[in-house]
Amino acid sequence: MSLIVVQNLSKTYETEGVKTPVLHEVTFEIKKGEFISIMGPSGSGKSTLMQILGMLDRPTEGTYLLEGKNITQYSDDEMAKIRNKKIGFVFQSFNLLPRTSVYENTELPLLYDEDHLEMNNEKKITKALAAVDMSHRTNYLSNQLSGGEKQRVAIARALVNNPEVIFADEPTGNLDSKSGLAVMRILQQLNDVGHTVILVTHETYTARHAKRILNMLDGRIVSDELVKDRLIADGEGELLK
Amino acid sequence: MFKRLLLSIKLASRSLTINIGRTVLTLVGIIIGILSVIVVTSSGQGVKEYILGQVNSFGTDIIQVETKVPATGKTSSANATGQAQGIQITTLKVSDGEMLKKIPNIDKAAPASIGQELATYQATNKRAMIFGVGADYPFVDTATKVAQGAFYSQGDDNGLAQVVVIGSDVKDALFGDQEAIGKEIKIKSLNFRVVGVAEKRGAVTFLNYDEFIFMPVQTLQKKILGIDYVRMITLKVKDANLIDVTAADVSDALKRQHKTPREEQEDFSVSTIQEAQKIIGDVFGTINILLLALTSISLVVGGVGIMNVMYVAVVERTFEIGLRKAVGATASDIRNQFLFEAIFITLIGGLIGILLGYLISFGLSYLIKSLGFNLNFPVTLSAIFLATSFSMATGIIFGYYPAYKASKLSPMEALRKE
Repeated sequence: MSLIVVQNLSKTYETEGVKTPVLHEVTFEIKKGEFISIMGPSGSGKSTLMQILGMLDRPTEGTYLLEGKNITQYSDDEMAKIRNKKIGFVFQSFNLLPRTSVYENTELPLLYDEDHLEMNNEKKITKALAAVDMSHRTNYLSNQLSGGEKQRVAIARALVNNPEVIFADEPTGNLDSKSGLAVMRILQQLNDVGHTVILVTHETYTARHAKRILNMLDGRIVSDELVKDRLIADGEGELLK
Repeated sequence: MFKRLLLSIKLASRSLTINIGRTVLTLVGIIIGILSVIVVTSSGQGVKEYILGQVNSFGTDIIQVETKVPATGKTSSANATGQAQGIQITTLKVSDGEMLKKIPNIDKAAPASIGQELATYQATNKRAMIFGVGADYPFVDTATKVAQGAFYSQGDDNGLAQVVVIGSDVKDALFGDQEAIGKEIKIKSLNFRVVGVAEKRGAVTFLNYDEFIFMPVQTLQKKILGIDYVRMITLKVKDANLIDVTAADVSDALKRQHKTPREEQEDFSVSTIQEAQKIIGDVFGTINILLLALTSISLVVGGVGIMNVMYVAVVERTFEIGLRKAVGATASDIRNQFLFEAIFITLIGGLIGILLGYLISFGLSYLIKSLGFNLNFPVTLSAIFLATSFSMATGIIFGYYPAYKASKLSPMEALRKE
């Protein structure tokens, strides 16, 4: 079964009476366990599409089914609860809470999870931080970290609640190549253990770490193809390429 | 539900400690507001109790007859300014006191007049209030006690004897540590023998009895002031329960004596302590409401300060709001977090304000007592209740709108604000 089904999805922004169409009747499906890159130049609508898929925004028209449920009919609070359980976000600018510890930043989604037991928090946070190799920085404040470390904490936060899908919006955009590679390696590892990863990027090189690439231009999908020679972020070897 | 509320409380207290500098500055506004409510209500209460206490110290069995400008109310400003501008009412006499003493329920009558003269002993001068009173005075004003010697007699009064009882400050000024009894002081070139020294009494309302020289009223009239009338007659009744009836009898007797049957002709006023208590109660009730209205302005200003700070916090933390929403916070989670921040600030500010207000009231009481006034500024439970509910209401009212606005932010828009 498809995890995500998008049909004729359109989005038009309206500011002071001026309408700006951003997405035009986009249709595609994503299966569970996929690693997909949404690629395109700036202004192509890829970030808007990610925000709608991540339930941070609503489409103007069309349907969006997540696990068979029509998300567009949900209330804001219902969408918040689904985001909490099913979705993890990794942003280009890390988006960590300032003057707050690595532990507390990672804990954030767990705070808003009504069903989990607080006694399990520590175990989940420790596991998430270990997965991104940040266990040694647990008590550091977010502003004491390097860019690469910040992004790894952001990934830990995204996966702490064991979400179905991880959305990564230009996750390597603010990082040097070594840190960027480390982030891609973590995303590939997460995909390997079953998480669906949706990556938004404008760089072909980064996009080629995914299994499938959706190319966008002017709010439309112009190509949808599997990656033939996929890049594996396995460390030093790739850096030398 | 309860768990999420607890979470909001936890997050609110955490962000208050993270932004400690701003929290403290906001607190100051609320503290000043609450503090002024406490201090103002306690001082209003204190002054009221003080004045009532002073009035009561004259006794509840006292009827006061005073001169009055005809056709004015006895507590009217027309009467007060009329007398202050020199309208002399010359119709109240020592003989009226004798006449009133014949009313069955009247026990004592002390006519009185006041002058101000220079008293001299050897080379020492002291300007003093000369209080000419009848020999009954220590019975009608029981707070005036003679520490040394004795009060003069009715015979002294009738015989225009040149005798005085001096207040303790006058004694200290003129005689220092020396014995005063039996010595002669000069007032208007006449010699007066000191027959008594009054006990130290402290300031009463706006009069300092310790600076008084008591003199037989007729001696003061004839030998010092050259008049034949008095300013007031203080009466003491036998049965205080009948005081209202007796006051009416006094009024009737004076109307007949002064031949002023119509009310607008009356050149005297008759008051009881009970009337004075009621007037004081009414006046302070009004003053307290006015003062509270004024101090609540400072609370409103504090509240606007909270609103301002909460608005800034919402703008500054738009990204945080977006992030929290992105990871699953609902609108009510965000609203409650910001609302609790505002409530915490007002609650903490309220507690500190109450504590400081209490300390200031205590300090003021101490200061005023050390100046010789027996005045307390009590912090009442109702003032604390009022201050607490005021501060809570301020927090909720002024914190709600920014919190509501925060909760309505779109997560995507908010995340762009980093």
